Amino acid sequence: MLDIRDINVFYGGIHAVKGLSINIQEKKIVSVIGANGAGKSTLLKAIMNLVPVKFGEIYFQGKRIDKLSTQEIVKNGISLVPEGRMLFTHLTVKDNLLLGAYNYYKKITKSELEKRIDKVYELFPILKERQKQISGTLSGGQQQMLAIGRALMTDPKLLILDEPSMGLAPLVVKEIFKVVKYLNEQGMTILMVEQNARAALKLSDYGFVLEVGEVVTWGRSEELLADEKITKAYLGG
Amino acid sequence: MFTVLLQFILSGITVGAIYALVGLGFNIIYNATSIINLAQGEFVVMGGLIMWFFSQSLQLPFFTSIILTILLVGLIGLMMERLTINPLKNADLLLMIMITVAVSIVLRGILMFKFGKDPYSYPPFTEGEPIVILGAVIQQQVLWVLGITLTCIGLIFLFFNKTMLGKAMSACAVNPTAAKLVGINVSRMIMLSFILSAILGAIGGIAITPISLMEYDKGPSLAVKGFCAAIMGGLGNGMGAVVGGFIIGILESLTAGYIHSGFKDAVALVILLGILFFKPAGLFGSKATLSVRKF
Repeated sequence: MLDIRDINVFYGGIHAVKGLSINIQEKKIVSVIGANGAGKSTLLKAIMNLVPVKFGEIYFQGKRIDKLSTQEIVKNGISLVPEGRMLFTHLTVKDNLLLGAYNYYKKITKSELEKRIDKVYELFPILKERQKQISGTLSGGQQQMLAIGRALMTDPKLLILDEPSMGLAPLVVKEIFKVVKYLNEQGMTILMVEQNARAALKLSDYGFVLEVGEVVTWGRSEELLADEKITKAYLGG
Repeated sequence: MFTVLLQFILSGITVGAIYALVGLGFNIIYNATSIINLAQGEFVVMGGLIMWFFSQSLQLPFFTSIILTILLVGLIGLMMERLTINPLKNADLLLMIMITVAVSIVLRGILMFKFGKDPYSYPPFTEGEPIVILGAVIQQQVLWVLGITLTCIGLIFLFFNKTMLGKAMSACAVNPTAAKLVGINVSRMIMLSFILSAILGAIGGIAITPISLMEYDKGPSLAVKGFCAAIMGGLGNGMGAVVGGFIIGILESLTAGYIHSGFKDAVALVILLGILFFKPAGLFGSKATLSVRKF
């Protein structure tokens, strides 16, 4: 579904991603793990063309996307939940969700829009309760839920999550991962970057391990979890 | 005694309205781009002079002239953004601000070339006797200026707080990356912010010219005062700029009336210095407003 071929990305003068290739199959959950500075977030930014891909190509459902604008990539069905949530903190919960569907205002009916919002509220009922609250005043967990909800408003085929568990209590992480699992069961493909590697691998079908901008190993998540060398190096023993 | 004071305050409110519009124009662009557009005063001058050109020189009907003036100045705002700001997307902020200075110099040159150095004016929107309130005389055009300014301000606030386009524009300011990720075309929003503040300036110029005349080089002083208004209210705070504009207008008029008209222009600068020294976030700003921009 997403075919990344031999891409090189420079970020702030650093060769952050070096000749990296990853192939993500439809309806799978894929985790990318690795230490800080391994190029995980840069990879995600490159997929969305928030940083330019210098060499190499990215294909999404057979269509080349690495030269498209972020806006076009979103229209093609990829949505990123950015690291640090990046909410529009001055707007209400509902406005954040509405802006999430910004591309679709002229294309979908009001009832379709409401349906999408209701779907998000079904996944995260707390957001419905708080829909009139200014999003900057939500708790960290609720902000992450809203960030995911906002990304879902574009009705993506591929949902990308950058560090969804960062700074959240274990219970909240569990709830968010449950939703990710549910979305995947509904047919959505998921690509996830996580510090919390063990939890991420438990959730996912495949894992890729990144080290200084390159894939050093990859495989089925169970296999990675069973591999002693990997658990030692990346999962803290 | 009281009548004189009232008269000064009224004339202060009139110029203050224009400063408010300029200040609001500053904020619209600042909020979308963090750029201080120092060509903001030229938008006002162009509003007045181009209106004169259409309505007096070409003798076009009143409403047609207004519409054409607004469209033309809006177009100039658009061209300014597309030709000078947009090509340098990732340039240093200070460089961008210098570019707006350059644009203002070029615009002033073109205006002088076309209109010369004479002040221009045209008849007020409605003819008729001035209105007298408690002894103070109000020209009808003053009511037009106030009415138009307040309507514009109201529309701008509705735009940013009630329409999706306005919210999307404010979203670009708060987090451009997130705005891109939800599919907002940030570059187009920046263009729109320039058009919008050019139009605001033009409307101010159109309204004030029958009262205070307009000449090619009035831009910088308008920009300075509008900027003071914006700083006073807390840069990025729309309502703050409006209040700041009126305060500066009134203080200026009182200074001219009670002290000396030569000190008039110093008022805004003294206020600017005072604010920067003692309350850099502005009267209505807290430290938080330095990072959060809201209309």
